Amino acid sequence: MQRMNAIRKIILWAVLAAIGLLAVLSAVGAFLGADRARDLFHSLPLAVCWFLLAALLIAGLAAFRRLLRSPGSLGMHLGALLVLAGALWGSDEAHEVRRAWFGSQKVPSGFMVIYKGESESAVLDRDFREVLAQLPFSLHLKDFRIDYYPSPQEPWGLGAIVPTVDAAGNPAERQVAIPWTVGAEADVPHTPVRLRVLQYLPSAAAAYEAGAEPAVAITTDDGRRVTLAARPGEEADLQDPPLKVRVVRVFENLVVQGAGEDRRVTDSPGEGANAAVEVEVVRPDGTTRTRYLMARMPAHGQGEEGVVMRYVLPEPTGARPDPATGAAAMEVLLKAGGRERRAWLMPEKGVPYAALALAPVLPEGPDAAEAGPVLYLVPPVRDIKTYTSDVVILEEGREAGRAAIQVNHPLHWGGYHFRQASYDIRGERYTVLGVVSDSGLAAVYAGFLLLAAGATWRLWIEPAWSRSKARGAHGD
Amino acid sequence: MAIKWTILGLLVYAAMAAHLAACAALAGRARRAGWALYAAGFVVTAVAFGLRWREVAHVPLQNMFEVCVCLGMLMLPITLFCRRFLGVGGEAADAAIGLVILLPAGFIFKADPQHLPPALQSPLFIPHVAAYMLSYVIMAKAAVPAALALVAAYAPRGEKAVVPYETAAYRMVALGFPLLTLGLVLGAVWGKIAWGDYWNWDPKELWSLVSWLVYLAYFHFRHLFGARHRRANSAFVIAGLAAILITLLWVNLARIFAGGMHSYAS
Repeated sequence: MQRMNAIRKIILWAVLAAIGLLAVLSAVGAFLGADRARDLFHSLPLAVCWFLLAALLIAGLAAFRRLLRSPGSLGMHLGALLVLAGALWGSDEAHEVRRAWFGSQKVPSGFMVIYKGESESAVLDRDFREVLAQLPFSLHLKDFRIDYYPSPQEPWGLGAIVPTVDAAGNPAERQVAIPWTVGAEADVPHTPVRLRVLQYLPSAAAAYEAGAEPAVAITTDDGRRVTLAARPGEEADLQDPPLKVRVVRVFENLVVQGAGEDRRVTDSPGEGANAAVEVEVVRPDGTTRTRYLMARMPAHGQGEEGVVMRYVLPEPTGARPDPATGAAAMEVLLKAGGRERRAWLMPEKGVPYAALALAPVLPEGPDAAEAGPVLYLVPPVRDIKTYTSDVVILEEGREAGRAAIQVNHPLHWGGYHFRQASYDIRGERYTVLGVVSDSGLAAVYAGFLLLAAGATWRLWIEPAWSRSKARGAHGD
Repeated sequence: MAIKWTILGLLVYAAMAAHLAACAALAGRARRAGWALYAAGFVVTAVAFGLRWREVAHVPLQNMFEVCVCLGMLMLPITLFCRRFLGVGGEAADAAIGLVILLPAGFIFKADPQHLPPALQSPLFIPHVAAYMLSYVIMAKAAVPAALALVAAYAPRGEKAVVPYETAAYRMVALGFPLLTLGLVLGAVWGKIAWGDYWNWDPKELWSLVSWLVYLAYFHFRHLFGARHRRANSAFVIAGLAAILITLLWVNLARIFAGGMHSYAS
């Protein structure tokens, strides 16, 4: 009996030492930051400690009969053991061992980058460079969207980006905010420009001259100009050179994916500002060539001998109130060195902000440095409410399920959890899903349940029961 | 430090004044007035919490300002519960704790309302934070008899605390520990759902583990020696509160040390 008591004391002191060590290492880990703490707790000496801790828990359960008689204490100790066992089973190292010894293809964690409209089964590393594994199924991203909290009823902000040079003489930029009110003048900092806000429309659309419409402008080698309305079916016979140009399709936002025979051309309105037109050029021998003319990249799509073709959008003459757009517009009067210019700041289609080059009013004139100061009109910052990736799960090419993955609504499929991790901040073209193996998770959750229930039973229910019995014994 | 000239700010100051006056009255044996002031402080804090809830349109437990108001509001109910069911007194000290908790809400932490970010939009938000808030207040209350037990075993004559200091501290820790465990476990489950893993080695997670481990060590030590080493027992309880304070304030201290995933709680 004495020997047993001595063993129990040794176990208790060992448990105290283990708890103390774990507490100290946790405090150290907190100073190291998550990544280094993770490395520390996954190191070999610590792995030995985890096994010793599990052994101590088993020794405690064997040596202390009272633990077995108290459901609360038993639950807590078994719970701790289950959490340890589940965590070890789900660890990176255990996955590696199963991969090496049993040929398991499961990876502990990784990421998936999936473009809208595409399917993906590759799990990548955290830098998205190395493929860690191919899943036996794939996820098809139908849509990715961001929902915002209602926009604050604040006017848009005015600012400028002014080129400068840093201390080392390298090109740099200064970003400045410009406080504004309608009718008041303000300086554009670090430039000689002063501006006055003439009008502000909180929700506006571009206004054009009557009859203005997009056109295909064709210039022949001899300087002759032919203008073709950018409407499908419109055609022009140039005669010299002997070519016919036909408008096939107009794109609000042309997106080209793939190359060669795999090239896919689609229109994605609202997601960009690549206005373009598809034209067909018919040669005298009857052969045809398809050209894509982009309004903002005039050099693209050329190549037909004897002609230069451009897709020309009409210039807006101003802005008009339009409650449907939600995009603000501002008319400003710019003044610098005796020059004056009225201009509208208005976001182009598919662009979330408006930009206006200041070069035309600078004393150096319109031909001033290529990267001159630019005035910006930007919307107030909106807080993100949710990110949602609508995915279809494909098994052997067939739909096996659907899910809307959000931050607190991961998808559980095929032994993995898929959570919303990140997205393409520039254009929301793709989503990034975190992929985590569910190995060992059931044991961990069972351990959590036993820990919480055991603590409650041992420290709340048992004492309350004892007090109640004591009161009963005293006839209270 | 900035004065908050808003209705919410003024309510917090009024609650602080009531807690201060309650502490003085209860310590000065003006018990009836002390209890009335303590109750008034609770009501004002609860009104501030309710106003904040209406303002932000979600349970106001997102940032440290809201957390401090919530903690201050929990003080009186816990005092009453402990006196009634555990035989643990110390209401003057409790009113003082309420004052100390409300102080940073009044002068340090910003009260700007914020939208709930995607990660916090979870059914686990309220139970996880509520379990922690309750346990923190209980453990803070436990530290008072623990500190007193360092210098004396029993309350002086005339004090209505019905159990020795060491026992009072133990009963409080026994009340708070299951809540601390529940907070830790719910946080882990939530971490799995929102961040992909139940344990991310985030500094705040690690400090919450440290505080849990300190109390766990306390139970094992007390199992080994009982109440024989009351000063050592007390040291565990006080160390536990220190770890809780670091956990609670880590995201603010994190400007000095490593950051973490709980940064929205600053």
